[in-house]
Parts: sequence; structure tokens; C-alpha cells
Amino acid sequence: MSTTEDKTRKVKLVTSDNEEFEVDWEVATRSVLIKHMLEDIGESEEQAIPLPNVTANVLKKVLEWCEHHRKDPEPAPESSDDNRKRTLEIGDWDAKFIQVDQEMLFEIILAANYLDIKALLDVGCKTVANMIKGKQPEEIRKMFNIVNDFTPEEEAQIKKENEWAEDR
Amino acid sequence: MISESDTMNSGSFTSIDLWSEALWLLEALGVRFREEDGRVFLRDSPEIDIKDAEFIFNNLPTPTVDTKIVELRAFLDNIKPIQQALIKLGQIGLSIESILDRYQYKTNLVASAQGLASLPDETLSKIFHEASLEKNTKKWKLSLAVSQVCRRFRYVALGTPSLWNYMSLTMPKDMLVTFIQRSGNVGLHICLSDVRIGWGTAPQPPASGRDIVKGFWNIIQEHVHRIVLLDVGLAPASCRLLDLISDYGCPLLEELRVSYGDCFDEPGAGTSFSSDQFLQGHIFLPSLRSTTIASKGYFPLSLSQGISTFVVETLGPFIVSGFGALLSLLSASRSLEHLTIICHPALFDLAFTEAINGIETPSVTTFVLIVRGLASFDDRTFRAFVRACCFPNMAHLSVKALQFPRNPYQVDYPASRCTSYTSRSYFRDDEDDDSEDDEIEDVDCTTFIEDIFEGRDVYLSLHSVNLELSMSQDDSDKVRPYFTFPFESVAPYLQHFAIAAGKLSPLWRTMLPPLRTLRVEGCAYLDVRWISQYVGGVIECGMLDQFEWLYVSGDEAVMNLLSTELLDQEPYLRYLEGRIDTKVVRFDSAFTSPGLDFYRDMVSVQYIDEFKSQSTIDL
Repeated sequence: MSTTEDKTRKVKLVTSDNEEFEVDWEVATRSVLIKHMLEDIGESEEQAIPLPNVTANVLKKVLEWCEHHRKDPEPAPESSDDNRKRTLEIGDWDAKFIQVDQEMLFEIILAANYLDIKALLDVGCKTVANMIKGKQPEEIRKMFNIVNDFTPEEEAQIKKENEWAEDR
Repeated sequence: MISESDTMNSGSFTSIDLWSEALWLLEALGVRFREEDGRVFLRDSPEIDIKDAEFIFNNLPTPTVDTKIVELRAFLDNIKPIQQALIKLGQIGLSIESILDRYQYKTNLVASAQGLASLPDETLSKIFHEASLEKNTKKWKLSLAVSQVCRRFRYVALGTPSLWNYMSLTMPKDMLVTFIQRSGNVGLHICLSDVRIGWGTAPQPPASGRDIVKGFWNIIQEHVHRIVLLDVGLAPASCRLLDLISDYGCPLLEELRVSYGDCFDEPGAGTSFSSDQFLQGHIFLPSLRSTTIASKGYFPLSLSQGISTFVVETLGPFIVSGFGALLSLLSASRSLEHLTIICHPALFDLAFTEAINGIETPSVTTFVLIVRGLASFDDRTFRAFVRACCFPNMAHLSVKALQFPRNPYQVDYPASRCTSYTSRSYFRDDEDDDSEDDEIEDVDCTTFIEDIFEGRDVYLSLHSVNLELSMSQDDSDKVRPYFTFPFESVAPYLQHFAIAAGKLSPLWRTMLPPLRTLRVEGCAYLDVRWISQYVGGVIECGMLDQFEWLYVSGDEAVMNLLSTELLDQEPYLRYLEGRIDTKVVRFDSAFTSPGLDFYRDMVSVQYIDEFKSQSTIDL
């Protein structure tokens, strides 16, 4: 539970390319990783949090998301029951936010995964999911420059699976 | 067209050399270029003003002009190589542009591949799982597709149990066994609604059909306790399976979808169907939270207990008692939060007009009303039903009059039957002439909107309204809906308003309270005016601090007008910078309008464009 003091506190973050960001505690702690690190270092306001897996341009984008969602309630623990109710729909703001080139999209996903920001990871994964849904394997290969590297045994199993799909 | 290798080969620069030579010639001629307001002038070239009296027919011929003509022709002859070089350069420019595009494409492709390859397996698995949640995609197709891309995709897909939890009566035995093995211990989605394969809606399943049921049951029998979603179409095969499932119970069943199709003609007769064993509460379903019913009017009261999400689709002649049963259910429910009613047009008995208004369901916070065809807006029975319902704590209202996609559990009925029920008389009294088919008529839908809010004077909880009254591409819906409903007084705390209607009343601006977001999709010329006026009003009354976003989409001409009228003008330019999103969409504004899906699939659309361009270029 955050206190009033926490909400006025500033947090320093240092990226892999040595750029420093000073952000509100409430914004920084959208990341569970940062939140735990802050808990570990205690009250020391001067100590910067190193983020060796995130570059400045990606962190800037991630912090933009955190700023917009700073007031959102804490995400509920993952439950299999919730999964089925979820859809691929993305909120308007998030959809606009995630309109980035694919390189940045995957960097955001990686950063969200590393920083443990579940809701942002969801947005990124849903966006990629939207890209692959309804596509044939060959289309997905072309989309991501993937080569078919199956062994002959795997090819045989795949051929069998494709027979299931015939006339359906 | 030149290739990348051509440009890298210094021996192939003859065209570029030609351009250099042309530039040198221009220099030698003393020609200078001067750019003013984006225009290019030739300085030091021979001057000629054809409006000058010297060159006017009435004053000609003269020897001076002969000399001038010679001078001009000499200049043109001298500059001819330059013209040719310019044409050539234009072609080179296009080729270079094309090459750069391909470099860009290849770079993006490799960067995407690099990005995707960098993701840990758990994240890739999550992406597959998210993709499997798409309702309009056949889940088993996705499961097979992603597992057949490459070895890593297959490894991750086979380790994602939720990709394989879909079981359908129509699946081959091997496929079922494989899917159930790969599904691990996750909840199962059992689909018994696809009756096209097997025996259709015949009274008794043929022997082969019985074999299918037996085979299916043998495979899922041990896993019945894992069922979380059951999709049932009332047909003999599904009923037999339901009987079997009922004996075991479904402690984890959360969602039940039932289609009461052509097998179910009389209300009350449904008790003979196994699905009613579920619906009447005879089977203990402690986890059931969501029910979807496609029905001709049968709604067991047991649904009023414990259900939080209820989707109703009216089928066939939706008789009076159907509305009565639905109202009773709504009146009794204390848990229902999300209600969706999908209504086919003019399928009702006209006797249902005496319903008591104000049957309140305080628990409902989301009300979605989907009508297929605008004719329903003036159907007396349907309107009486809508008036009778009241959701005083409604926070989100969505009204759609679009031609919605069919759900897999929706029962088909003959197209001719749909057509015969589609009334146009409401919109056009004198319609008897086929030549009028292409005419569009503006229709005031205000009274229908009023009906929705009939129960209370004010809805204090209502903060979000989506209206998609736009026309479908159905020929019977060639109308332009509009309305003049005072949202500012009925929903004073409204924060988000989205509309996909084409043409609205110019008075519209006075009827919305200050919002956080305003979205207008399929914007028409008239809309530009009220949008400008509304935004102007927000600025004038100092409410801009709470205004977050304006989303507008429309065809190119309308969006140009919007830019001229609003985006490029002060004070809008100053105040709205960074708060406006616009999108040019291609649609026939006379007949249809885009839905409220401003950002949906945008990334993938962008990709598809790239994908198409890639497929046309030989890399």
C-alpha cells in the first residue's frame, strides 16, 4: 500500500545507455521490478535504479504508458478463470500508444516483460496476436522472415494434422 | 527500372552523368533557379509576357516579335537536353525511391524477426494464447497454423495448453485425441453447436451420427469436469451428449451458450431438451457466470440467479411471451451486470404494447443493444420492451444498428425469411418504385433513444455511450440515421461519447456535456461543423483541462475540410495540439460508415500493406 509520502517521492532510473530519468514514485512503481528494488533500497532517494536491459528510447515510451496508467488499480493475480473472458480488444489510448514500428513494439514487449508491467505486456502481446491471427503458416513465415526448419518426421506429423483440417 | 546492384556499379552511372551535364549546360546558359513559395523560376532566361500589348494578335505582326520568337526557340533548343535529362532523372528518382522502400522493408522485416526471436518462450506462448482468444477466428485453425510455422513456434505452441482446449463434435477422432492430450489440465471449451456435419437437424441421428456421438463421448468422458465453456445448438446429437454430460456435472462451467433454433417452436416445450436441465437449475453449476441464448422467446427464470453476463439473440418470430419472460428475468436478477440484446428486425408479435414501464435491474452496468436493420427502431413491440427495461446504474451504453457478423452458435434461418420481415415502410411511405432503391433518406431515431432512457429522468452513473446507427450495406437500410437527444441533461456525467453515424443534426453540439473523449467515425461534411462548434464550446467554457482526446475518421475530402475548419485554425490549433487523432478511411459515405474501431488492427493493417507491397516486389 502506497503512502502519501510515497506519492510525492521521486525515483531515478538509469538506462543501459546511461541516460537518467527522474519520475514520480507512483509512475515508476507500475513496474513490479522497480517497486521491489525500491523496497530493497529503502528510503534512499539519491540511489538510482539501474535498468541494464532497457535503452533510453524504450524506457521513455514505457514511462509514457506508466504515466497514463499511474492511477490504474493494481493488477489482479493471474488466474486461468480470467483468461477465457479476455479478448483481443485494446483500449483506445493503448491502441494509439502501441502504434509504433515493429522493432519498437518488440522492444516494448521485452521491456514490459523485464520490468514486470503486466498490463503493458498484455497490450504488446495482444498487438502481435492481432498480427498473426487468421494467417496461414506461410504468411506468418513471410511476416517475420522465418524459414521452415522442420525435420522430415515433423513434416509428416504436420501433413497428418493438415488432413484433419480438410473439408472443415 | 534499375536494380540495387546497378546503383552500386560505377559503370552504370551514365544517366547521372547526363544530369550533371545538364546542370553544367544550365550554368553555361546563365540560368538560375529561384524558389519562392515552393515555385521554381528560371532567372536569366528570355522574358516573355504574352499579355503584353507587344504580343497581342491585334498588334501583330511586327519584326521585333520575329526576333523574340527566334530568341525563345534558340533557348528551348539549348535547354532540350536538360529537359530530357530531367525526364530521365525523374525515372531514376522513382527507381531510387523504390530501392529505398525495399531497403526500408527489408530492414523492418529483419528488425521484426530479431524482435520476435528475442522474446522468451513464455512471452511467445502468451502471444499465442492471446491470439486464441479471438472470437471470430476458428481456434483450431490458429492452433494448427502457429504450430506449423517453424520448430521453435511448434515447441512453444505444443507447450501452450490453452491453444488446444477446443473440442468440437465435428473434429476427427485423431484430432480430438491429440488436442485433449496437448490441452494439459486447462479448462475445456466444448462445442456441440455445429450440427452441419453428422445429421443436421433431422429428428433422429442416423447410425453414423450415433457413432460420432459415441466416439466423441469416449474421448471427452474423463475430462467432463474440466469443461468451462459449453456451446450447444439444440439438435439431437448435442442433446444426447448433454444428457451424458449432465450425468457427470460441470462444476467448473462458467459460460453456457445455447441456440434454441428451429427445433424449438413452442415456449415450454423446451423442457424436453437436455440443455434445459442446465438452464432450469437441475444441474448444479456453481461456476456459471455467463449465458448466451439464441432463442425464439424462451428464457428460464433460473438464469436470473448468479449470472453476471447475459447475451440474448432473438430468433425467428420472437413472440410476446419471449419479451415477457425476458422482462421477468431482468426483474428478478440481482447479479446481472452485462446485458446484450441482439435483435433481428420486425420479428415480433404486435400485441406486446402494454408492458409496465420501469422494470428495474439495478445491478446492470453495461447495456449493449444490437439491431440488425434500422426497422427495429420503429417496431412497436420492440420499442415497448426497450421502454419497459430500466437500468438505473447503467455506466456504459452501446447501441448498434450494424449488420453484425454471425456467431458460430447462431442458428441460421433462410435468407428469404429475413428479407420478408425487413420492413421499409417506416422509412418511406410511398415506396413502390424500384427506381428509388438508390435514394437515401434521413431518419430521425430520437424516439428510440428516448425509449432506452424511459425509466429515469437522469442517469448519473452513465459515463460512456457508443452509438453505431450507421447504415449497413444491406439494401434495405439505405437511410441516414440521426437524432437530437439531450445527453447533457439525461447523462450529466457522461465522459466518453463515440458515434459512427454519418449525418447528424447541426444542433447536436448543444446536447453533449463536457467530455473526456469524443470520437466520430465515418465523419461527414455536416459533422465537421458540429465538431468544430463543440470543441469551440469546450474551449470557451474553460473545460479543456478535462478534455483528453478527439478522434475523427472520414474520407479524404471530409478530413481535408476538418483540417481547414478546425485543426489548422486558432484557437483550436493552440489548445488541441496533441489531443487530436485523425484517420482517413475509404468508404462509400452514401451507403455505409465505418464502425467504432478506430485503432483496431491498425498495426496489422500497416503490416498487411507492407506484406502486399513485398509480395509484388521481386526481392
